[in-house]
Amino acid sequence: MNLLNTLIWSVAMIFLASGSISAQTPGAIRYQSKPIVPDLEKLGPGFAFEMTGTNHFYVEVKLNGEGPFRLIFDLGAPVTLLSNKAAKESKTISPNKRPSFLMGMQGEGTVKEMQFGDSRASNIPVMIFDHPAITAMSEILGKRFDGILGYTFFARYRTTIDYEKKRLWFEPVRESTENVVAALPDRMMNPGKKAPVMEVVPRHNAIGIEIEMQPGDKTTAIPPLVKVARVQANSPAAKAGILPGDIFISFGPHWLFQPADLADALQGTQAGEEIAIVLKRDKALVQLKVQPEWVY
Amino acid sequence: MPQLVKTNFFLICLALFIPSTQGEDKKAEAADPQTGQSFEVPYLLTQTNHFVVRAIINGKGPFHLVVDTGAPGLFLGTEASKKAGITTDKGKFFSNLEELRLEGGPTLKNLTMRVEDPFQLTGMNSLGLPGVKLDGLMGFSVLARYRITLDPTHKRMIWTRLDFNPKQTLDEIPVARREEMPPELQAMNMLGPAMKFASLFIGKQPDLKRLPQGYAGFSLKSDKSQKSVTIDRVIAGSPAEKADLKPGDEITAIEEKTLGSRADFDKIMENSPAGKVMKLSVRRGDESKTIELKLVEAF
Repeated sequence: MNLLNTLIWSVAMIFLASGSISAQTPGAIRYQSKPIVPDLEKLGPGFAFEMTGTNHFYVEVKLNGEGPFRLIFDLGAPVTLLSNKAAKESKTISPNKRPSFLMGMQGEGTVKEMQFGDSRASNIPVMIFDHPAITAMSEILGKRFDGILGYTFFARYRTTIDYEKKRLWFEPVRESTENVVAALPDRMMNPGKKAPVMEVVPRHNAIGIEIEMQPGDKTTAIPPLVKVARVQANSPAAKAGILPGDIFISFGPHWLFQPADLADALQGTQAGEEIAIVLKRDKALVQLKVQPEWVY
Repeated sequence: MPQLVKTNFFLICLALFIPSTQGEDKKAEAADPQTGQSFEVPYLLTQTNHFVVRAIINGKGPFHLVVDTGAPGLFLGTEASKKAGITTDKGKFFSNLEELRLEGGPTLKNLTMRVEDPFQLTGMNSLGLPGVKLDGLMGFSVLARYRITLDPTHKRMIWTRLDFNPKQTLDEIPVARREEMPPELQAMNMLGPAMKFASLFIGKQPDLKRLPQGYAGFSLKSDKSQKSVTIDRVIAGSPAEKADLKPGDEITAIEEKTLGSRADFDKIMENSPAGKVMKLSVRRGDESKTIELKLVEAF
């Protein structure tokens, strides 16, 4: 590939980027503290999926009452994607619309209704273009694939995937995903603005400690860890027996490699709930239970 | 671009893996002691909408792995592989990994994996798009062993170890040569380096800085209507005490914003890091005053 082509590709990618990355504005999502283990019996039989034979799986859905269409379920895909053909057949775009030269790029569209099993989702934002992967996959497997189901779809659901049963369960958790066109293009178009992007991690609860970072060790590949610097008298930490100098190994299910990780871990707690923590004290591991309290 | 850059890692692999009948191999491996156990697995949603989980590999790390049902196996970049002491054998497509431990507890031993720099990761990392450095992709060969529940409104996924070990058929499959890839796929494979090249002109985007919410050291009176913001307890030695806040004080405005509900107050506090000086309007009895409260880093 020559230099010019490389540049064209780069520009194309950046162009695509501007339309398909959503903003993570701080506080855009208000997280619940406790994940709820889904009761699969209550949820019913779920929704069957099929393996492709390449260790991917796909679902068959109806789009705007047309179909079925085969969509690859891809948790790693930031957007939902439809081929030109599927977009036309499902009346997502007009059948007369001509694709552009670049992989049939049509930009963004909206699927008014997606039907999977007995469930329906409305107004799913999609990108329309003929992804070479989908084309290649259809050719290799001798089966037509119509696109990719990505983040813009499953961000609305609590999704459960069971490969053994080959079933999916979707429980709606919110109406729509965040605004799709946002902060990133601005960052990319204004290279002068190189201020670090800052995100504040909400904490909700506290245990009454101050911390300092224990530097990592490159030779033994030990990462930096969070160390207790001070413990407030009568605080939950003091009651639990946490001492200055203790090094956090884990806090509930969380690992702590930076101060924000402790905020993440505390955000996942409820006031008064007993959280199991593991600390390194001198050379031994100590297991304790701490009950965070609601303090700003 | 994520379309191009990441979306479908399955692409690369598509050309490399001939379709196989997917099977399971229950008896071949001894029962995993974690079978039947459920784990809460914390994750980070990157700026590029990727779900990222942290992992310790062969006791080294942490590494950031994208949870990717669009990847057929476990892929770790060359830099991370080196750090984790994973060796590649020239004649073999796959390498062996002794232990993969994910944040929250799920642990797998003796996995086959591929040392590779998928173009989507190379590209995104060089532009700094995800906000954190992505070290690899975790696909089918890991994910299929678990029932996974992912709720975008929760901080953690739930992974339940199934008595199911997908047969790693990829091992037995001859690897197609790269020249046999469709030209479009070859083009896409070049995008990683192209992005790196592009970053020379655009410049790497700054990393995402994650700061913990600052600490003030007071609690509020519980209020079912969620309307009033009245201080209940002030912690000794805290910034709140130093700023002379007292139990019973009602906060009427914060940062010049009149408070209509507790949710307004929470939203502002949750976006304020340590070091920030908060301006509070406080009503104490008949008296109104303005208080400056400097948040500190405490938990």
